[in-house]
Amino acid sequence: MMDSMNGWHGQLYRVDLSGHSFKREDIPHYVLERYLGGRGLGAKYLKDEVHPSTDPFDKGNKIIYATGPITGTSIPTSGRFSVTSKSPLTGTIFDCNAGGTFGPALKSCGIDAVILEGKAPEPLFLKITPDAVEFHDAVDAWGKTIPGTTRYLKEHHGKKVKVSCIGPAGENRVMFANIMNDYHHALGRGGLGAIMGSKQLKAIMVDAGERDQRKQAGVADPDMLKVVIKEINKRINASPVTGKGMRLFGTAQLVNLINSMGLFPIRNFQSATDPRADNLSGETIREEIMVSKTACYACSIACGRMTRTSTGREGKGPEYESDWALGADCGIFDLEAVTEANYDCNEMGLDTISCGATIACAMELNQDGRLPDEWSEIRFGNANALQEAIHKIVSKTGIGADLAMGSRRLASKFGAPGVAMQVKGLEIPAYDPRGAFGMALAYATSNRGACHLRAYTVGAELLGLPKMFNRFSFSDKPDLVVTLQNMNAFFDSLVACKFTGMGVPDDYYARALSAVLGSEVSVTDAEIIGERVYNLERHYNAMIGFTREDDTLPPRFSEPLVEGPSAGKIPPLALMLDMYYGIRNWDVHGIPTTEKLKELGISAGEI
Amino acid sequence: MNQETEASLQSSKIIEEIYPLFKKFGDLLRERGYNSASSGNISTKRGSKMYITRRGSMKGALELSDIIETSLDNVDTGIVLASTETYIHRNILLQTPALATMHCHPPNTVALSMYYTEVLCQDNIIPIDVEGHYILKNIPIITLEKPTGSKEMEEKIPEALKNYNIMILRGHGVFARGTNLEEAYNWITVCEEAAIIIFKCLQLGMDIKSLQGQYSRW
Ligand code: SF4
Repeated sequence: MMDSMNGWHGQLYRVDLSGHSFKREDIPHYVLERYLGGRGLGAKYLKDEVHPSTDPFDKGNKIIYATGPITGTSIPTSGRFSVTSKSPLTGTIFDCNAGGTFGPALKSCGIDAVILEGKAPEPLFLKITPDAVEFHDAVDAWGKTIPGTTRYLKEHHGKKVKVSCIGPAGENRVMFANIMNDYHHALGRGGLGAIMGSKQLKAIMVDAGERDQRKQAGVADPDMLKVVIKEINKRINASPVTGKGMRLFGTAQLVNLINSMGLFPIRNFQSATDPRADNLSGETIREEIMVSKTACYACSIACGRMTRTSTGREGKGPEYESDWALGADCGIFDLEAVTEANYDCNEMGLDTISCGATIACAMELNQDGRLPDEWSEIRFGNANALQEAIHKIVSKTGIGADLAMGSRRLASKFGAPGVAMQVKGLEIPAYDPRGAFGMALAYATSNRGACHLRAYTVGAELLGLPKMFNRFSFSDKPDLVVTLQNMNAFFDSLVACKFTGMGVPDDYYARALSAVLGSEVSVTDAEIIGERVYNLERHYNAMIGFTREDDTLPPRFSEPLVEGPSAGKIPPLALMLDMYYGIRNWDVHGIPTTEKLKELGISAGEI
Repeated sequence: MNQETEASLQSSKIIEEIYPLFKKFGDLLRERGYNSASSGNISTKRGSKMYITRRGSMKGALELSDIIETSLDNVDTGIVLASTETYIHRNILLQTPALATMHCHPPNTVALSMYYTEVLCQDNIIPIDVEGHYILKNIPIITLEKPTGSKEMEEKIPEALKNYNIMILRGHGVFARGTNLEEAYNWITVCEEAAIIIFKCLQLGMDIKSLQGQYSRW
């Protein structure tokens, strides 16, 4: 399909943290063609190089930073990069991607990816340049927050370095510690920060040098690319979601909408609508705490919010999911408290969704009288307890040691596993699946556990994008979920921001990729690339031991909501799952068949 | 419950969800004059099955029994009842990201596709109106030796839809694909409107080429 090296450099850095050495290595062209970059490339290397039985904190686990063929171009939202590893929270393959400016800087070093192996004997910083990987002592910076680490590195290595680092939560291996870059951008979920902490790697900084030293991958057809970019921008501007809502209210534009439709989870999913939701809405954020908008590299949507609370603290957020997890899910509708808790998570390096959802789980355990006295403050609605709990999680002291394990382990420890709102160990985000049957199937079948971004059916089921689907119908959801999962895997391999999907048709990005590479990648080819990535991840999970039993939802979702616009509905998961496996050509246990793997060119491993 | 009963229960539940949609879009196609009494067809994918209008059914007056279930990957007796263009629909559903397809004969589009000049309608129609530009940009046209019920159609139409949402079969009609029927229907209406506007501009003696923008490479 592709015959040039436009779009890629075709090389990676392989870094041995144990021995402080590195080498530059070619990436086979067929691997780039088949997996593109980002998530796809990460999955390919992880599957080939990390044995499925590897403990996530073992030195045999690897961390793969990868950019994609459009990273660093002027294609809207193309400034992203991804990180893949085996998650301590879920035990599955796990990737995250983030915006900011780190990704384009990494690619300007003339590489497409960095593979981190082994375990550093002492805390370490890496400095990546176009010529080498440098190893720097990080003992003095161990314990620093995300902004503290970033400032420290900029002071010592120059303002221009781009930083991706962990905070104290990652150092202490909190199961849902994240990696942050450019101060505010999160590789949020799955505890990737804890893996970095286990390797004693505090940060990676990138110094791509002066403009004339930076290495750019080629673009085959700049004229056509210009046309496509113009059309993408037209779409972004014209869509009420990307052109108006996101710009005015950020992702929290969804709070009032989702609440009014009756699927905004309240108090650990015990109900799904609350009149106080507006306290947390995008409108209220805009009126009360917003300072300015902020955007990632090459993005005109600018969904980020810089905010300031009355105590004078400033930071980024809250975004919709964080706003909900640290707020409504914990029964807290105090925007300032939620915002400050969000700042704490960002500074300490914690995933806001899993953090809030785990605290919410503890609140319900407490409500049910399952927790000892030291938990007495962990009550729904108690905003004062929120920040304290976060600090205890980071240091793993007192109740923090249990909370730091995530909701699944916490609820099991206290004898009520059903109270954990999670799938495969990953906490469910801010849409009650009883209010959108597609989300139910998307959560259950996601390769990295309950994730809204693997197949964001909310677009079709609630926002009418591209066209409205009945949110309570079941028969159309398996096909919709498969298509979205595949297309999103393509997007994550480009790497582009999936929010563009709320304004820009998928084929525009396939056309942009075609212009970069100089050979046609149709939207159908794009879906096949995504399907390959999805199946590879699934195959790897199957080698670990994941089966149909893991494609499930907490028992709460087999009971209907009693009030609100989603009352009385239960998603028929088993029925949808059968149809879903049929479409995927997986067997009844949810495992990709040999025939399917062969069709996609995936070499099968032992199951 | 045995497996067969379970499967047939599942099918009837699916048809229950699908029928109102088929009916709605069948009615709309009739209202807009895009079909003669029983021309055109509508299909959608549900798991490993395809649901398609019955051969010869009146799309403007669909009954529940006009929806035929047939397998997507195996041959079954469903095809005896289903539309003559079942294999084209099946290939579109299997070979492109389509979850729904629609075929009909919008008269202005069909007429324009036969107006074969150097500027217009050689391999495509490039809309000149703002909505047509914005939404469709470039609509491929294919010419076939046998424009009904042929093997060539089963191969070339899905191929043309791999990178486009709608295509024109010269002198015959359009095939559109979508994530759902509404989306496929929308492409058809935009296409037909674009054809009407081109006709009107031709009548006014306007220079069509200069209005086409940069979309010939889209
Ligand atoms: S839409 Fe938001 S998250 Fe996505 S690239 Fe733009 S600013 Fe970043």
